[in-house]
Amino acid sequence: MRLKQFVLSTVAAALLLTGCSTDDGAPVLPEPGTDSAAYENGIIVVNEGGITNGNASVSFISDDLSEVQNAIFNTANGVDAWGDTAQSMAFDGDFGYIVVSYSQKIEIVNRYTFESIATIGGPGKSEFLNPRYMAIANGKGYVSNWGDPENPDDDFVAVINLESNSVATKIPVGEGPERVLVKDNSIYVALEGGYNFNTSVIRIDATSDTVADSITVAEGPNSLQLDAEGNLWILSSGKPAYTEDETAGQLNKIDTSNNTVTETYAFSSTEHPGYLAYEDGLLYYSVAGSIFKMDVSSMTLPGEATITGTRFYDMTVKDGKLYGADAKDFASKGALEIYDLSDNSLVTTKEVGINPGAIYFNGSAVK
Amino acid sequence: MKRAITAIAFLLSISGHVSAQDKPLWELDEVVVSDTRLKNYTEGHKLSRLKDSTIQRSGTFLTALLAFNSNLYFKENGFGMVSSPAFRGTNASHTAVIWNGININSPLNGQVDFNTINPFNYSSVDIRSGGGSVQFGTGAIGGSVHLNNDLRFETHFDNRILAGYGSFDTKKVNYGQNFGNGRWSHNFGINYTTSDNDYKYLETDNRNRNGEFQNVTLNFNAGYVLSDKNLLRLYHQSFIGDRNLSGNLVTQGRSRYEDNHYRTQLEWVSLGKTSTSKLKLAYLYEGFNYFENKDSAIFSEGNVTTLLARYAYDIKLSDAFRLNSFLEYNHFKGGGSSFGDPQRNDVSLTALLKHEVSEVFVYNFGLRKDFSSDFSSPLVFSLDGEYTVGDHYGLQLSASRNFRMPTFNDFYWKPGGNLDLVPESSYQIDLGQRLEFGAARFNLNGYYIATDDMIRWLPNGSDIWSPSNIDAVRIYGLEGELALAYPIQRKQNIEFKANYAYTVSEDLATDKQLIYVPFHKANASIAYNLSHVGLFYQHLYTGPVSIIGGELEGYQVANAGITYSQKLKGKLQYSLGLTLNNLFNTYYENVALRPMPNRNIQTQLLLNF
Repeated sequence: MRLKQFVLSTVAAALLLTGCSTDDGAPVLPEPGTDSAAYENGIIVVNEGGITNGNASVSFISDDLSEVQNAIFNTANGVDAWGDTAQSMAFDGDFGYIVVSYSQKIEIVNRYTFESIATIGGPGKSEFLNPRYMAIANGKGYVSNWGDPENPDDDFVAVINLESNSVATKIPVGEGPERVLVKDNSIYVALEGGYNFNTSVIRIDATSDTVADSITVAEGPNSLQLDAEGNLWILSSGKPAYTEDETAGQLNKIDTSNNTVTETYAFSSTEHPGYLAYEDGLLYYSVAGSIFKMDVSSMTLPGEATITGTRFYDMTVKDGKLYGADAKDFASKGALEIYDLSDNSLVTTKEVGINPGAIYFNGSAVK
Repeated sequence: MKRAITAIAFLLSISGHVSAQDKPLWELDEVVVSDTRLKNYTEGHKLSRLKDSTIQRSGTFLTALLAFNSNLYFKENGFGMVSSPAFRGTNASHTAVIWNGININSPLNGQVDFNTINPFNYSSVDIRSGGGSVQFGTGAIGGSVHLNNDLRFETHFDNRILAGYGSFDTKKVNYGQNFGNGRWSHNFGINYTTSDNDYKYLETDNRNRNGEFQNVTLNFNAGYVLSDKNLLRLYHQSFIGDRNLSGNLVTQGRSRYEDNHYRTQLEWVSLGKTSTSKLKLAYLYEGFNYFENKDSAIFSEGNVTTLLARYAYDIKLSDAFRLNSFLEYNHFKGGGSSFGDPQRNDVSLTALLKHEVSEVFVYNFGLRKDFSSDFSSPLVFSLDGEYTVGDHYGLQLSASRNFRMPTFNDFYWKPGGNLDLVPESSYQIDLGQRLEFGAARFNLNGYYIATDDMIRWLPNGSDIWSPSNIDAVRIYGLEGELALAYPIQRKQNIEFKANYAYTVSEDLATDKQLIYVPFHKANASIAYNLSHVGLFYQHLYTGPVSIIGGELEGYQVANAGITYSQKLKGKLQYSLGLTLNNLFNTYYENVALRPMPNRNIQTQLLLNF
């Protein structure tokens, strides 16, 4: 789902609450953790909540899948509403950085306890404007920001001083910076386009904090992966039919030593792929709910889907399992679906928060 | 209707004898009401009227008037922001708002923002409970709210000036004029309201930021007696609003919303011996500009123009039977950032038959069929009647089928608009009992509403949000309304009014109560007058409601006020008023995370001359 639609339908079609969806019950309050690292060794799901509803939340599922705790930020900090539209997270050492888009802030937590450490920005403050994703390189944080979504010329990447937890500088970039990925001293920022469709991925040099390269791909670069050889893979959706200017999706392989495109895989004109994932030489992506698997050495796109009928809002792969977030109707509780990639079977489904949109893995706390 | 007909007939019968303008032509205190269907053909429905004295005690917006004086429940995105009703547990587009006989629900989203209507410029506000699609068209499912401007033809010339100032730098000025000379009558009101609306959020260090608003409303209404059988009437209403949209406890609003509404209707009434025919033409415009960043010049927009033509014919067939029929044509033309410039043509045909079986038993039967260029509408019906026992008791029953048309957004929104939608369809039955003893009145109603094919926007397979007819809702409830008025001696008067509503509104797929529908809502108000001094107190209780992912606490909030009125020389009369809103300084949210104002003071000076 493109956010623009979501925003506009929130604003105009449903500017007034229509009141025709039902409640799904009060949030399931977790048992408080018994030690100081309540949320280690498990899966972290960031739930956006509804835009302007202020009900962002974070869910935790233990690695053995036996335990699900929703609203862990609320529990750890004893708060009710704390954020509007939690978009994503980044991790660095013991720290977790929750990017809260509509609250214009980053909540810094202990990633294993989710206790709040600091807040950068906030409602009415000027550090961020619609922050999206964050990556850490050269001891600094890099946060993509749309600026005003209607304005194509005010987008930027905020550079965070992680010592003072403040914004050191803002690097102007093209419209709609979205996902970020770090390789060595470079931050790759996909300019997906925000409300529109942009066509490039830029590279920011983490020493000079300037845009060093721009790699042209197709419309809507929406996900980035690095393979074991250090190649960057960029998946672009193309423009969907509703734009009345439909273009094909595209997968590109980038040589990161010179930041040039080395391979281009074209999808058919009505295919709009997303959610690129990578593990052990295999790429995974989704087209209209079907999951495809492709060897990085393949010269062609795969023809057959391995899993069909999903409705993921985000997807990732780890240790032979595929994790997909199903946001359902975007108003009731979503689910985390876990598939075993050895036989493509659904292992389990866990109920998480409203609008789950980002999945991460939390290892062991260093004791 | 009888009253209006009598009024017109009387007016017309004497107008032929008029030769000079120096004598009052009109000595009776009769008025011409704008929508006679409200009085006639509706005996089986509960009808509550809020008169000017009640209207003057309420704040600036229709929201507060109805929240404190009716069974309607409101969701307000912070004070002065967008406000939508749930009438009998229905959703925001299931309350029709009828302005002098015309449905003014937005063709864009099917709703009316009750914070764009200033009740001060209306003679009365009526609340008609239960379905009324046969008479009032789309959206009349929970009920309808009627904004009425009466025309007084008797010779008079009255002026009114109101100036108000209060907390949050809230200012309002209003000028009203009312004139009649027997043949011509007009009244108009112009109003300007502005407020910083930066109230403190109780229990926090925050204030309501980015909530400032200002608006201008203008109402102009006129009637002219053409001949002893012909009358022309004109009604106009403008609203020019400019609001910033406040945020919530975890976001700060940055946006701004301008909306303009212009509505004009012209009606020609022609009287026959046993019949009345009316031809009405109307032009309605609404448009908005939405600035995601209020400081930016970039905005998205939408607008829709409606041209309406209606011919209505009412005839007394016999002593027992009366027939009303009307043919209505609507042409809609939209424009905007998100749906190009679609057009739609609708025609509707309605017939209503009234049968006065006896002195104590009367019923109405109505049928309506809409034809649209874009979809097929159901045949809807209504059957309602009243059986009175003695002078004090009445039994009311109504059953009807009603509908809500898909909106411009539903049909044409790009991307996602769905041209295959059908109208939402609703059946209902309502049983009411009415007890009246002098100035004491008690109503008790029980109802059941089943609505099907309700439209919901959901993401479809290709990640686009799209509406479809998938929801079904079952609603039942009980409503009580008590009104008392006691004149004590000559100079004292007490009025008491209370409403209570119990509402169960369940999604049939989940059997759960819909979000933002309280099981319990109650309000009560008492007004006391002693000579020059008036006092009032209003109390509102709203029970807890479900919200997405949780529950929102219930709340009680009260307002109180005092007025001092005195006649000076001649017609000049002044009235000083002071109102304390949220008397007990209660923290409450009626939409989650959007706190409503703390205790605040509003003062006003009213001059009548």
